[in-house]
Amino acid sequence: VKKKRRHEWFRKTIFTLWVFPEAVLRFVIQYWATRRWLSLVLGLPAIVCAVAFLVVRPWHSRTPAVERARQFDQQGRRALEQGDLQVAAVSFRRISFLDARSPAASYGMGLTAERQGDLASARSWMQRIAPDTEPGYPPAHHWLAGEMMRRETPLELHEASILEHHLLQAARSPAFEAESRVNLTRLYLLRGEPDNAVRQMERVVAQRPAMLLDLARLHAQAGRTAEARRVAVKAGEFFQAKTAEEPSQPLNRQAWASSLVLQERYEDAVRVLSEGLNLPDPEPIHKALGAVYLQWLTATTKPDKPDPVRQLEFLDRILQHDAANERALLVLASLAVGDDQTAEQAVALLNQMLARGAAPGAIHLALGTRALNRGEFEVGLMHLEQAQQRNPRIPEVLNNLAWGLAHQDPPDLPRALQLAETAQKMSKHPEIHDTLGTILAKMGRPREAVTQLETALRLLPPRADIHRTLGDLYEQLGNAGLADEHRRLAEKLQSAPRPR
Amino acid sequence: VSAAEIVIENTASEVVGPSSRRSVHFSVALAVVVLASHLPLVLLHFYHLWMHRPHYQFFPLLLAAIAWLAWQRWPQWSLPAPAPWWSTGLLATGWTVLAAATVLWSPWLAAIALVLSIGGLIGRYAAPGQWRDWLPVWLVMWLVVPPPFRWDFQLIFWLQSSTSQMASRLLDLLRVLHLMEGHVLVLPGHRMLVDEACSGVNSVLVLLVLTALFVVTASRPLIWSVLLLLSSVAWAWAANVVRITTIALAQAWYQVDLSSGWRHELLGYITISLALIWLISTDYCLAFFLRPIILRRVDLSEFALEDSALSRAWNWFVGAGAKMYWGPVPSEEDDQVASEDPAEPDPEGQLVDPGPIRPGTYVWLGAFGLFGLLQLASFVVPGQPALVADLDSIRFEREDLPEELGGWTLVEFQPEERALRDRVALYSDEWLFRRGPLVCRVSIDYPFSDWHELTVCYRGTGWQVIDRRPVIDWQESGPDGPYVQVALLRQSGEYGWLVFGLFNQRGEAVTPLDAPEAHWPSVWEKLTRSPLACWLLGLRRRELAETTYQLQVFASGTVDLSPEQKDEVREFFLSFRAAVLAAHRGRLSQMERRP
Repeated sequence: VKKKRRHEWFRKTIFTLWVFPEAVLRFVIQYWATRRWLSLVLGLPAIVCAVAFLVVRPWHSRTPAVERARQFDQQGRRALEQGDLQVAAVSFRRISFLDARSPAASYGMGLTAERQGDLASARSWMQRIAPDTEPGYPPAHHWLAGEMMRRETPLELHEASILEHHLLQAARSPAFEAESRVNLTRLYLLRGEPDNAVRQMERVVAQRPAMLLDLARLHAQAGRTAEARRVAVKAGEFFQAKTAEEPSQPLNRQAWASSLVLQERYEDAVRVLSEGLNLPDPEPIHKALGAVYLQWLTATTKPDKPDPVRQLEFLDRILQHDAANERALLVLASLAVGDDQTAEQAVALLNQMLARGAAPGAIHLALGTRALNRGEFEVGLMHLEQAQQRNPRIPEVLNNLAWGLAHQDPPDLPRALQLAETAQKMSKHPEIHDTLGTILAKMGRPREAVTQLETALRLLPPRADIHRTLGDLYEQLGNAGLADEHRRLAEKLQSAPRPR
Repeated sequence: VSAAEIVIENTASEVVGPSSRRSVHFSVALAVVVLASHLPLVLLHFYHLWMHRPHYQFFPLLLAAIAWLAWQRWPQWSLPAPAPWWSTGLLATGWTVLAAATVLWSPWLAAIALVLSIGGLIGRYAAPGQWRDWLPVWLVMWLVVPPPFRWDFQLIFWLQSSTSQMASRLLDLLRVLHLMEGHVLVLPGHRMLVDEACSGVNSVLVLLVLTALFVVTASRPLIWSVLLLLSSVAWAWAANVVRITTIALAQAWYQVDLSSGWRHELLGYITISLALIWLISTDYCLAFFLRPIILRRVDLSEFALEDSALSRAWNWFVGAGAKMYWGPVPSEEDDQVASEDPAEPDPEGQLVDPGPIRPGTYVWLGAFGLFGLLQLASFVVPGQPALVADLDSIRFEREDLPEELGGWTLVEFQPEERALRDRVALYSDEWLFRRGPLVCRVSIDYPFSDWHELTVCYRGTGWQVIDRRPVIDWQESGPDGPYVQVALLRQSGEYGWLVFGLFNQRGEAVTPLDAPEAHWPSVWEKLTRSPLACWLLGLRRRELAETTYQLQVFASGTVDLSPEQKDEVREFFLSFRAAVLAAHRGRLSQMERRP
């Protein structure tokens, strides 16, 4: 019976399997034949719209969130470049919605806030992704470092450490490495850490051989002559090759010459530069030649035993190439002080320069100062007035002009005071305190004069004339003891009227 | 009821004799008493729906439609039959719920009781087979009862989020730069709130009700009806996605503002029309797919004309009964005819004769009548004065806060007035205060009804609640009562610190709810709102919906506030609340002194 039942079950299964496709087929035919196709046509809008809505999500998901974030980042940066801050703000905020931890979003929002003038918010956004003590997003570290370096107030010691941290973190990014290491070099130099500065620069030159020259200078500055020479040789080879590649580019030639100067190969440097004088614009080469000659002069002049004739010869060459070279003119002005033959030659050279129309301000200053020292007030004031008219923002000119006006006959004390006060606003040079004090003394304002002269006395080397004036002033103020003390010191110093 | 009464009377006079007429009158009286016993609280329920649930303001139309449906399906006189057990059960449940509603003074429970009682009455007086006609109508009646636990508001929030997200995806595909911060659509230079109306909750409910009425009227089969009802929700949602997307596109591409004014209204009508078109199209679509198999001999081969179990199953599935149909030429009526079960007799035109009056009927009459009277009595029980504010006299001003408050300096003041019956407050007075690097936005928002969970609004603008802590202990909260402090985080990484609280018309703090989303008042809480219970138990009565004022202090930044800064903000909230309460109480005392 069991066997029969098993067979029956088997038969039924086979029968069902045989019949089922037929039943399905019949059902499909019946179903198909009894549809109302007009209903389907009228139902099509619903079907199409439903499919459209159903497709939106998968279609939207085809673009990965990372790719979408990248697109928004690009869009935001473009908008920032174009100054469209509203688009930038929305773009960067969208990134944060796609990836809440994305530093690009905070960075972009920080940049946008900066452009909107909200520096506090910008700093806050950046600090979120670039903390002061931990590694963060290099571009934000770079931004924070730049923001610290742009501050007008000098950095405190701990702030300098934070700046160092930001620069070191920014240097992790290839995009900011060179710039950050150059800034680190500057920071270390300011902090008096030349070894660290050199280490940073050595890492820069690996990427930018053009910085070899700066590295050589750093070595020279740190007193490592051999290292400076070694690097300067490499720099010279590099810039020589660059000059061969681009002969019309004056900068490469100048850098090549500079590397030769660092090797103390002055004649070669002059030769290299002279070869560039036939360039369409030789002016930079002339200036570079002037600088080479000046360095040559400086390097070969012994401070304890100067050779004025040789100095004049070099100055003549310098001024032939760069008539406005301020340092050369200053050296020339210092040579012009005195009554010896060198001074006369220096004056003649200055007059020649003046006649050629070169750097008249500086030359007028040198000639005017010399004339004042010689007691030729009319000539001196004429030159200094000329110097002031050409550049009214040189404190030395204003100070010397004020001095001359106060000592001419009759003195013009109100104008002298005004000029001296303007000079003091521009510079904290102690000579200006002396000038101001002298003028105030002459104007009969002893208390103010004492303040200025005592400041000058504290900052300048001891001078008899200051003590003498202070003696007179204290006598006016009724302090005979102090007046006598100053006079005693003045007599002790026995100094002649100082050159200004 | 009166129309029904007339019908019954007319038919009864034609069909039955004088002995039955008394029982018919008695039955009508019972129905009237049962319905009337619910009315006081149900009317209060409708008032609350109108005032506090703007998305239910369609209910008068729904009631009218139900009345029309009832009129259309009103039964004719029929043979005597005893009341089925389930109708007695429904009536008993209705009475129990009505009793609870009266004692606890719950209009919502009264609405449930009414629907249950109507179900009981239908069962009691309709013919045995007539439930197929009445069940859909009875189910439609449930639409006047909002869901518990404020699920309708959660549905609103979900719809706002859902439509916003979908619109955002569409705008992405159309390459329109935008940002959806919660329910706020941000375009470069523009911010638009996707509010409740835009989110589609109104149109969802309206379309749902219309569809429900349609499927009942058109006698659509069950599967068909369910699918059509579901599609109505989907199409209302889709229409609102279109609406939001259109607003954004108009602004982004053509700089046309469709987010307010007559343009916004017009767009709303267009999109709801679009949803209706989609709905009609869906009905046709379902008519195509769910049509029963009705064979025509002329069209099919012998093979296809054979009886098929699958076809019979299909016909059963689509509500046409488990049999094959044959017809020379199927017509539109076929669908209707096929959708009804021919096996059962058509119950149209039958009303059960209640027969002789049973003693139980008197019990029902008395039981329902008692609670009807108790409700009426509750209205005249003496109680506390109403805590509903006269908003014309209670308004806050800039001068209510000093220029310097607790070390904070006033920077800006901005009053705002919004549309009436908005879910947000009618008035918002906003001050901006600064103290060092901290800037706080403080505001008074009013009027609200009872507790208003402010975190919902913040979630709507893209904030996530990290931590919410009600401060109830008076030693911590201070003499002016409890408040809530909330830590917030935005997806963009911004942090927020919010301190808020509410006070009522008397200036007393409203106790914050622990879990406001799923708050179910305790029996004791309900009793304190019941006039009858308060009168009997000597309790101090609370109004069903008292006017409340919301105070908030909010600070945000790109980094989280330090604990010290949070304390500063909290202290500032306490100073702010003290100043506002002093101004409020001063104004109240002025009003009391007036003749």
